[in-house]
Amino acid sequence: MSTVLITGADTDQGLAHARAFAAADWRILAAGTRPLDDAARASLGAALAVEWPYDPLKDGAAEDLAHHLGAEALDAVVFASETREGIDLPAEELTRDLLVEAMLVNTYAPLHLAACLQPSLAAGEAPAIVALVGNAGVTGSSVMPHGFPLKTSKAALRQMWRNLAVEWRDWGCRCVVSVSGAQTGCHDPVDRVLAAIADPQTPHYCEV
Amino acid sequence: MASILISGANRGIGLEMARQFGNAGWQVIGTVRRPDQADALRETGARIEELDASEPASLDALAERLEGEPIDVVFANAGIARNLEAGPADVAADEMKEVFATNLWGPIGLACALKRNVLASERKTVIAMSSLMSSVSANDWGTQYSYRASKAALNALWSALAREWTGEGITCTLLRPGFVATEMTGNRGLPVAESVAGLCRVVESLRLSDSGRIIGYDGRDVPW
Repeated sequence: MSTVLITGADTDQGLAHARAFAAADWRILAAGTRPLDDAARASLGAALAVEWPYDPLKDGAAEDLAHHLGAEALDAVVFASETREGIDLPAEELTRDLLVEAMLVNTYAPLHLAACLQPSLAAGEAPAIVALVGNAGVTGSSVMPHGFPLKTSKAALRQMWRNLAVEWRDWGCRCVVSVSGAQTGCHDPVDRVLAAIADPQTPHYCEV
Repeated sequence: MASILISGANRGIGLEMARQFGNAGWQVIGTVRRPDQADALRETGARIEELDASEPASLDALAERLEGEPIDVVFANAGIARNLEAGPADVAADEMKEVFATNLWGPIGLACALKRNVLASERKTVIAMSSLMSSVSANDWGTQYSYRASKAALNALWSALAREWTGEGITCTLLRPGFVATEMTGNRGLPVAESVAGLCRVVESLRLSDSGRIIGYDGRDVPW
């Protein structure tokens, strides 16, 4: 059975990924700022192996998560933890602290956690790391009004995944970027992620 | 006479832009962190203003000093690079914060602080300095994590800004200087005067229809 770690498992998109992976017979390691509620736990059933606390803004959070994991192999990690703070603000109302915090949560934290989890991923079977970027992170194409902190941090996250794809390809890590948004009307973004991970032909960098 | 404000004008590309725009007859305002260490900029004839582009209070103070003065082009050039060789496990949160505050907040903070000055001018242009390191599609060698993240984010920010400000008549454009021989690159690459000559040509030719583009010193679009 394959194992996936999902950050932000307590959020809508994190839980949606957890349910899809559970339905595909994956073993789920859930991490989030809050514990899953009873309904979420019940929906994951026996697939939910463990829950760990993870707050991307807390110093040492990534190291703590890697410590909990120990020597366990990971076949995939889905980085669903994010902030959408300030997405309704026009440019004139942005603040430095708001913008930098969005970058730390949505760009730096996934990068840093991925780096901390490298030994576990390297022990996995055809490992993959999944960044949830959405249409907001595809520069030049997003039609969302405002959304400055989200667009900037997700575009940067996409660039970080591209970097990792280049640098980690020699040990077989595949870097998957989910750019699908609900507005595309395409297949369910979660299904596209699962299909990319399951496909042995998925290249070291892949946008779905 | 057209006017341009250039941030980070005390050295490298910013200093050369001050020189070349001044020679071309533009009224140049160059901002620096330390006016007492800006002799080279002073020699270009530029007016010198103090600014720490990563500090909101410094931006507010600059806006107050420039209140009521039309500025045709605000060029957010100031930027920093840190630890370009670090691998993903070695990039520190403090490094990221510093680079984001300067390379991302700095340009948008400057553009917003001086928006009224720009709207009062004829050319109504705000420019941010991008880099090929920003391009996701051109990234096939990795490295430079904090710098790449900041510039990819800056592209997204300016693209979004163009969507909002172009309707007000403001041209929001990103420029790419090329790989230029400066302190940041260890003095390897294109002569700075050549890059800046190209940048000046691009700035001179900008129109509202160029809003949302990222344009190289050679006039060619850079892929996102």
